[in-house]
Amino acid sequence: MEIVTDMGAHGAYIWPAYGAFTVIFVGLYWWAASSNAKARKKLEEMERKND
Amino acid sequence: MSIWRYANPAEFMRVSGAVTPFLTVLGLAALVIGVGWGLFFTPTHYEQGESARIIYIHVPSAMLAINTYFLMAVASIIGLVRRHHVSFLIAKSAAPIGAAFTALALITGALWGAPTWGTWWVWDPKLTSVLIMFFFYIGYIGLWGAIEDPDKAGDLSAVLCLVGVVFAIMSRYAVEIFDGRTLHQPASLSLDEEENVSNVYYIPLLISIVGFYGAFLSLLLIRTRTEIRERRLRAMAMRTARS
Repeated sequence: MEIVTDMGAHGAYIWPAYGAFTVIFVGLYWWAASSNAKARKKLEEMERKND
Repeated sequence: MSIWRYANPAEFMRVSGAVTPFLTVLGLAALVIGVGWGLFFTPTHYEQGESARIIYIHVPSAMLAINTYFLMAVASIIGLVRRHHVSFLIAKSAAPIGAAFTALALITGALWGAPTWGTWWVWDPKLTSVLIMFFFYIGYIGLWGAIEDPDKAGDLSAVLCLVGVVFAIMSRYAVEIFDGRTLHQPASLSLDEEENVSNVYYIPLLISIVGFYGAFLSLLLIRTRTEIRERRLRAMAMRTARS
């Protein structure tokens, strides 16, 4: 199996497409994980206060 | 055992808490393998050249863009009919993820279209339907955010979601409906083996699709868990304010 890294003239289209893919996936996971951690922390604090 | 028991938030939190880490690892592993294989290890396409490598992200993101909308519609109907608020929260959680995949499908489609069709964009029925569906995603997210009462927000957003279903259907079937009058090609994957892309592209594409779906499900569960917690927080804050 040969590894292809030279995309020729089409590299100008391929790399931005994969860049957008990376940015969107990293962004989605970062946003999902950080909002989840924030909500969990707030809820734990609130439950502790109410106990 | 009834499926409706998962509509109970506590049961949903218990099951999703156990499943999410596995889905995340599985989804991301399949994603790296499928996308990496497709990008670096598949041969140059005889007709489209290297630009065909965009297929490994364009096709799965377009599939998810449409199917996420269908999932939101089903969850909205369940929410409206059975009044399970977890259904509304699943639809709410899916919307930003679906919008992100729709944006990715539009961006990668334009980047694939430029070298293949000679244009970034055409007002083709399929492309236009996907763009309108994207606006419905944005409208749905905006409507949820604009209404303070979560029950009212769930109901009204569900109705808006159902209105937009026609564009999800058009996004999926425009090529077949406008037979021969669209620039966009027919689906790359088919149950009919002869219509499929050849095996050398098909296997990494399939792994990539599994990765996208795994990642989508893990993101959806993480977001729904967050929404359930936020709803509980809101209920507790209101109770505290009243007492």
